[in-house]
This record gives sequence, C-alpha cells and structure tokens, in this order.
Amino acid sequence: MTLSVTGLTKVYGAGDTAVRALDGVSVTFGQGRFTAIMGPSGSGKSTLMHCAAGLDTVTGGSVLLNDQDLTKLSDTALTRLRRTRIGFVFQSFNLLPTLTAKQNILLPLELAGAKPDPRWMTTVIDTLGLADRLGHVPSQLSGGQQQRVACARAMLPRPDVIFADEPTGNLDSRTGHELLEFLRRSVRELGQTIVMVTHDPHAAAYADRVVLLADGRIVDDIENPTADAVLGRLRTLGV
Amino acid sequence: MWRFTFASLTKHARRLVATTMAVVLGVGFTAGTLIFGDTAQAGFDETFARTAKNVDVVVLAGDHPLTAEQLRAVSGVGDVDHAEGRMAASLPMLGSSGRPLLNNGRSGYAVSVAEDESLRGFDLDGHAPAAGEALLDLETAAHEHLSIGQRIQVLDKSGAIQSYTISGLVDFGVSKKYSGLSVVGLPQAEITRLTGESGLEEIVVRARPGTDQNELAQRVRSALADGVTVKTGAQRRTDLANEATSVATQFTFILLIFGVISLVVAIFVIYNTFAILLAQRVRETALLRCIGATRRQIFGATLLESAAIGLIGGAFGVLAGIGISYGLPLLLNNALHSGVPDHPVVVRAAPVLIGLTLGVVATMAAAAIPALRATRTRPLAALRDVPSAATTSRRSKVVRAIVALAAGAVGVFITVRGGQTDDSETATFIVVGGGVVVFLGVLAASPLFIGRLTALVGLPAGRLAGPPGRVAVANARRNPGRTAVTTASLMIGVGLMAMFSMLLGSIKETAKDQLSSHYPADYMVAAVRDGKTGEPGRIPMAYADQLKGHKELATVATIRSAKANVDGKVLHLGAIDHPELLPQLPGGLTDGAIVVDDKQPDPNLPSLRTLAAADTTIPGAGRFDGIVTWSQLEKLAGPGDGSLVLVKAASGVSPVESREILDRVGLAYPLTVVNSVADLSSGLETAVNGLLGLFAGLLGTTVLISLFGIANTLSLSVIERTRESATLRALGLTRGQLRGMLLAEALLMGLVGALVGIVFGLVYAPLVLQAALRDVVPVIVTPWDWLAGLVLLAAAASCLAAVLPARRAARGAIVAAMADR
Ligand SMILES: Nc1ncnc2c1ncn2[C@@H]1O[C@H](COP(=O)(O)OP(=O)(O)OP(=O)(O)O)[C@@H](O)[C@H]1O
Ligand SMILES: [Mg+2]
Repeated sequence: MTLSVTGLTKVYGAGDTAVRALDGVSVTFGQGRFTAIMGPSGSGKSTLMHCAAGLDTVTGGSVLLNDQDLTKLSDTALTRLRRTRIGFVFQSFNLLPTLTAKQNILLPLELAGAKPDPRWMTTVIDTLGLADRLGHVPSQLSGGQQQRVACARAMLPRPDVIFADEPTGNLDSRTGHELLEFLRRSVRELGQTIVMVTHDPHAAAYADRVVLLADGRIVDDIENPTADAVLGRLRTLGV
Repeated sequence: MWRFTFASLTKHARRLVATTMAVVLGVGFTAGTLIFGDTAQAGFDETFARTAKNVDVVVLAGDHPLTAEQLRAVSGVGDVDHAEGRMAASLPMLGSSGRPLLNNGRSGYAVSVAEDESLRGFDLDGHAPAAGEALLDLETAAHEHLSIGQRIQVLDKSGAIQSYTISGLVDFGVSKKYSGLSVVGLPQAEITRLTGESGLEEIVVRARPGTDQNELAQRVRSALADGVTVKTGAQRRTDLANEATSVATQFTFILLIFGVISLVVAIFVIYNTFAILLAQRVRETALLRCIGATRRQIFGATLLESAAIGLIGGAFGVLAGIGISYGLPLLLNNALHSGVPDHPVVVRAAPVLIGLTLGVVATMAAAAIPALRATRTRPLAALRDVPSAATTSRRSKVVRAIVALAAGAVGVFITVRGGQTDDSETATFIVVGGGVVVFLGVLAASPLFIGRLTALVGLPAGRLAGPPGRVAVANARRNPGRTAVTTASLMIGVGLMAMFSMLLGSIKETAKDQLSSHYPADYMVAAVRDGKTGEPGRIPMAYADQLKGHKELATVATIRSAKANVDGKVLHLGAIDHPELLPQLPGGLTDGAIVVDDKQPDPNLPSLRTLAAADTTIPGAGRFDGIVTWSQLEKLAGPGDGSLVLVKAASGVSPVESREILDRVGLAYPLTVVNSVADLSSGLETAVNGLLGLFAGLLGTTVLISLFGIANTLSLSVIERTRESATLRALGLTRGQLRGMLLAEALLMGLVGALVGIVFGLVYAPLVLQAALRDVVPVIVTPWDWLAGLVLLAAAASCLAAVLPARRAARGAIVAAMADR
C-alpha cells in the first residue's frame, strides 16, 4: 500500500474571501507507518486529511492510493472505496446513537456487503477490551470506550489506511494514552497504516514520523520524534 | 423577548414552512366551508325567493286548489293592480327515446306562464309561449340536449302525444318542488286542455304603487273564504329564504365536520413541530435561562412565535378557503347532484375572522404543551450535550398506559351500550361516539406500541436493504412520541377512509343482497307515478295479457293495491295473481285468506282467515296491511287495474332477449317503466361510488395535512441528524443509500399510520353497520381493493413527502456537515 499526495492545493471560497488552506502539499504515507500531522491551528491539517481520505474535493494536485487517483473518482466510487479501504477515527467519536457497539463496529463491512473475518474481529475487540461492551449503545459508554469502539470500527475492514483527526482531543490524558498505545500496537504488531492529526507533542511522540504544516505548506518532517523535539520545532513556528 | 422571537422566527423560517402549510390547509378547509355556506345560502336565497319577486300579496291554496272565482274576487279588491293565478299540474313529458322522463319513478309538471311579465315566478330566456309553443326547464333541456326552436312531446290525459316548439328556457334552480322533474311552461288554458285541471296553486298580487302590503293582505283575506293562507310578499320571501337556509345548512354542517377533522390533524402537526423544534433548541433555551430569562419569558416567547405562525397560516388559510369555496360546489354537485346554485363567491367578515381566530388559537393551543415543557429546561442544560434519543421515564409510560386503557375501556363500554340500544339512529350515534373514545385511547397508547410496530413492519427493510434499512428502522423508532404523533395524523385520515369505504361497500352489498333475495322477479314494470301527488298510476290488464303471450317469459304477475273496508277497518291491501312468486308466500294464497303484516298488531278480522303474519312488502309496491288473492280484492274493493307487474324470464332466455320483449310490448304503454334487478344494482353501484368519491375527496385534505406532517418531522429530524448522516457517508453510505434510508423511514411511518388506521376502520365499520341496519342482516364486505389502494397511496405519498428532506440531506458536503454542531 502506498498513499501519496502530490502538489495538493485546496482553496475555500473565491475572490476576496478565498482561503488557500493547502498550497501544493506533497507527502507520501508509507505502509505500516504511524504518521502524525502537526501544526498551528488553521494550518490545514484537517483539510489535508479530508482531501487525502477522499472526503473532500481538491482544487489541484492528486491523491494516489495504490496508483488509483482519488481525485478522479466519482462520489459513488469514492464512497465504496471508503467502506473497506479507508478507516476513520474522529475527535467526537461519531458513533451512530441508534446502533449498539457491535453494530457500529460492523457497519462499514455491512455497507460493503462483506463478512468480517471472525479471528480478526476477536483480535481487534480483545485488544481494545470491548468484549463485554458490545451490546451497549453509545450513550451507555464512556468517552474512552466510545473512541475505542470507533477505533474498532476503523480497524475491522483492515483498511489500507486509517485517518484519525485529534482522536484524543475529547479524552482525559490517561485514556488518551491508552488509545495512542493501542494505535501504536496496531501499527507495530498488525501492520496497520495510520495518519493522525494532533496538537499534542506527547501524542505525536507515539508516531514514527511527524509532518509539520504551516499556512498550508509542509515545513518540516521529523523521523522517530520525541515530545521535546517536536515541541522545539513547534516553538520555532511561533506556536 | 420580542426581538428574540422575531429573530428565531426568521432564522427557522424554513423549518416552519410545513407547519404553516398544515395551518393553512386546516384553516382553509374550515374557512372554505363557511364561505361556501354563505355563498350557497345567497344562491339558494336568490333562487328560492325568485318565485316571490315583485309580489306584494300572495294567496296560497289550502287543502283545495284555488278557483277562478277566488282569482276574480282578489282582482276586485281595491288597490290591486294585477292578480295572477299560478297553476301546476302533472304532465308527463317524453324523452328522446319516446318514454316519459322520470325522476324516482315520477313524471313531470306543467306550470302556467303568467301573461304579466313581472309576476312570473321565473326568469325567462326566450319568449313566452304562443300557440303551439312551450317553455322548458333548463335542467331537462341540458339533460335531453334540447334548445329553443326544437320540438318536445307531452302526454295528455288521454295518453295522446302532443307536440310543442320550445320558445324559451326557464331556470327553476333547486326548487324542491321541481327538483329533477321535467317542467313545461304553457298558458293556463292549454294546461287545462291537456290535463283537465283548472285549480290554482297560488294567486299572486301586484299592488298599486304606494299601497301598504299588510293592509292589502288584510283586505284580500277578508275578500276570501277561510281555508286559504294570505301572506305579504315580504313574508313569503322570508319563508322561502328560511326553507333555503335549511337546505344550505345541511351541506355546511357535514362539511364542517370534515373541516374540524382536518383542523385536529393540523394541530397534531403543529404540536409535533414545536415539540421537535424546542427539543432541538434546548441549548439555546438553556443559554437564555443562563443569562437571566425567566420561565415566563421563555413561555411567552414560544407562544408569541406560535401566534405569529397561526396568524400567517390563518391569513393564507382564509385565502385558500376562498379558493376551496369555488371547488366545493363542483365536488358536491358531481357526487351528490346536490344542485347548489351558481352564485358569485360571497366573502363575509365572519368566515375571515373565524379563520384567523382558528389559526391563531389552534396553533397556540398546539404549541402550549411543548412551550410549557421548554420552560422546565434547566440553565445547566446549556453545558450538557443534547441527548439525541428521547428517553421516557417509566412513570410517564405507566401513566400513559393507564390513561389509554381507561379511555379504551370507556370507549368499549359506550360501544357495547350502543350496540344494545334499540333505536338504530341512537345506536349508530352512540357506537360512533364510542369509536371516537376508543380511538383517543389508541392515540394515547400509540407511543407505547408504535416502536415495536415499526420494527415489525420494518423487518423486511432490514432484510432487504441491509444496514441502511436497519438504521432507517432504528431512526423511525428512536423518538416514539414523535413518530406516534406524526403517524397519528395519518391514522385519522386513512382510518376514516377505510371505515367509509367498508361502510359504503357493505351497505351496497347488503342492498344488493336484499335485491336478489327479495326480488322474486327479473323485471319490475311499474306504472309511472303522478308528478304532483306521487301516487302510482294504473297498468292496463291488456299489458300483462300481452306479456303472457310470450313463452320466453315464465311468469307475469300483476299486483294491485287498494284501500278496502274489511270488518269495519280500512286496510291498505295488496293482491297478486301469482302468490307463489312472493318468497313470503311459498305455499300460495287462497280466496278468503289473508297474510297480515307482522309489524302491526293482529288486525283480528272475523271475515278473513289469517294465514300467516309475515313481511307484507311487495318489491316496488311497498308494505301492505295485508296481502290477499286477486279475486278476494275484487270482492272487497271492486274491479280495478294493477299498478305493478313482476316478470320472470323462462330459464335459458338471455337478459337481452327478455328485455327486448318487454321494451317492444311497452311501446304501446308509455306510462310504464321497466326496471330490471340488474339496473337497480348498477344504479346503486353508481350512487355508492359517488359517495365514496366524495368522502375520499373530503378526507383528502386531512391526508394531505398529515403528509405535510411527515415531511415536517422528517426534515426536522434530518437537520437534527446532520452529523450522523455525514458520519454514515464517511463510512461508506452512498448518496443514493442515504436518500433511500430517509424514504424508508417515511415509508415506515406512512405504513404504520395507515395500517393502524385501517385496522381501526375494519373493527368499527361492522359495529356501526350493525347498529345502523337493525332490520336486515348486513352483508359485511371488506373492500380489499380500496384498502390495498389506501396502503399504496399512503406509502407513495409518504415517500413523496420524504423527497425534499432526503434530497437536502444527501446534498450536503460530508466535511461541512461533520463540523456542524
Ligand atoms: N469550509 C471552509 N470554508 C472556508 N474556509 C475553510 C473551510 N474549512 C477550513 N477553512 C479554512 O482553511 C484553513 C485550514 O483549515 P483546517 O481546518 O484544515 O485547519 P486545521 O489545521 O485543522 O486547524 P485546527 O487545528 O484548528 O483544527 C483555515 O484557515 C480555515 O479557516
Ligand atoms: Mg482541524
């Protein structure tokens, strides 16, 4: 699997009020790697993620997932692709309130009309410690549990890549670290590719690599980051 | 708070469109009915009062017709400028087929045309008839496609055909007297020549200018003997207008019932809108409370908002009502031949004010409970996330169940009592009342069962459509209260439609059953009834004898009715020359014996042997005090002709063949009408279908309002679930699937509402029928075709209601929707 973004440009609005959220971003997310995207607020992190995940249209450039250009696909084709090849974890969980945890987890696969691999399912559920919570609806779960359900939902179809936009933003630090620990394990042990947007240098330290954005451009790329190193670089950007 | 109300109104304007539409329709129907009532009233007034135009004094005949001497006496009274006698006599007119034109077996009228133009009781298009000319009423002319200059034929008292050229057309409007009958206008002398009658119906008087009507009436009264009524022209016009009122109010009353039903449905929709809107606005409301708004202010602001909507909806409703008032006469005249006269629409202040008031009051009443609930919002709620699924406490569920059970029990009790009541009219009324109470119970209970029912009905959706189907079912279930109120409005409309279709269908089948089991013959040849008196005429014996000569006709039975004095009692007796034909006389009848009416006390006749007490009804002739043999009746009442001939075709003879024989023989006897049992059935069919169409049309508004309700609930839910929809899209739900999901949700609500309504209709229609038809065993038919049609209609319409919300939901970009909070 390779996901590479080339010359990506995204302009919101037109004329005087036009905002250039992304300005020629090129980056490749490698197989089995945990990449964090960081940068000041408004630097274009979410926009980059949305465009790379085929959730939003681009103004220019291309997004290649295994040599397939996502920017050229129709809405329906993109939607089908998202079902099994791309996973999402959102800051505010975004579980379906009417479905149980298990139904939520199975939703993307069912939409694709596929059956889950039972062994993989057991692995994911056990790793996330959700076995005794499967019959509950989201309102009966804590925030951390809800986010773990969201992770399981993203993992189960074994997508090519999982995008996570500030997944720990709504969690306390202990629960947040547990989640990050799980994400790192799924990369190390299960070979999952993850791209995560975060504001927290400690969260970024769980990743293999940090890409720094500012004003819609990539300004830095750090391998094997530590919290201090990241913090230092961010300071130089004036955050 | 004013500014806040205004801001929230304009901000949520789009969310309130469907609600306002519900108000518009509910008010529109009611206001339209009232406006139509005023218009019809004006029209009836005009046509009814027309006969008394220019009349200063009128003399009305009592038991006996007025005479020429009386006319002369009136003419001789001082200050009488001119007096004119008006005549009306029976005069059968022949249609294009050469048979008399009949309405309900009755032939038509001849009326005299006054020489004095201003004292004619009608407006004339054309000129007064000269020799060989006649006037004709508009309705008959239209029906027979006749116009001025064409020829018409009438039958004089000897049965000879007389022809006239039409010199003018007359509009009698809805005059009860002539309704549906042919009316020919002729000079008085010509009527006397044709019919042999010379008596006058009324004498109308024009006074000299400056004469007091009351004084003149007094003088006319003293110039005449007793036994006549003398009225002033003004009195007469008031009387006629009062007669008109009773005709007009009949229609308006029935229409108003439907108006009220649609208003009730509109209230459901309004209630639901406010309940949803305020639930969505909990944070906003809580924020207002945080910054110091009192409960009273919150309540006031919501009520103010509802009043504004009510006023706007009411205003548009009145406008819609004016439009509806144009359509109602068409609907009524087509379905019922109600003969509502054409009249320019009359818009009085009352319907406008009532419409506006209803709009405001209904909307405010509907919004009151949600508004009250909003005042209970705690300021703290502003800080919490809003729970997306409503949770109902156990206690409120128990309370609801108790209320529903109590209402159900009371309703069942009332219904049972109604079923035991003897008088069928009272019984029907009580059963319907019980039905209303039970229905209220069902409505109260519906939030408790609607979820499970939705799941059941939605089972195939989950199977067929996979996760989107299952999510749709779950969404439809997630706010049982909301779904219940949404479907309740549809329940009412569809339930009533189902009930009416079953009632009318069963009445039709019952009548057909009565026809086939009680009509021992294939044909019933009746003598034409007198246009004026309604008395049956005579059928010459030669007619029956001629029929008997045809071997294709197995039985030709003549029936005669006569009053006879038996043992000092005057009895209305019937005789039949083939007693074995009547089902109630399987063993026949012998001279000296009588079958008496089982509904009346035993007449105890020493001179006649009572054979049996039975139903003495003879089809086409009505019920008798007793039935005897032909020769027995001749002994009692003297010789005479029959008035009815029953004919049974021989086996193997086709209906076409037998009918042809009857028509051929009948040519020489114009004053007979051949009715076949098949004709009667098909006539019944048409009448019932007309009624069904009318009710469907009237209930259509109700169903339309409930569809606005579905669209409304759905679009508000869509707004509420923007983020959820976006999540689903992100996870791989295509646009089409999202649209389909919302259509499925609407479909579910529509189906559940329709099903509950239909079940209710199916349970209650037979009960009402049994209460209403006491004398006969009703044949209860379930109109599956109609019911299936209703379900399909509800399904299609609710999908239609979902189209706009679904499109709106699917249109949005995923990312933007996800950010929406
Ligand atoms: N729908 C939109 N319309 C117009 N401008 C937008 C829209 N979405 C984002 N922007 C602009 O694009 C730029 C990048 O936004 P983006 O959400 O990608 O930032 P971010 O790095 O995720 O910020 P944060 O850390 O606050 O989440 C910002 O200037 C923002 O104002
Ligand atoms: Mg962001």
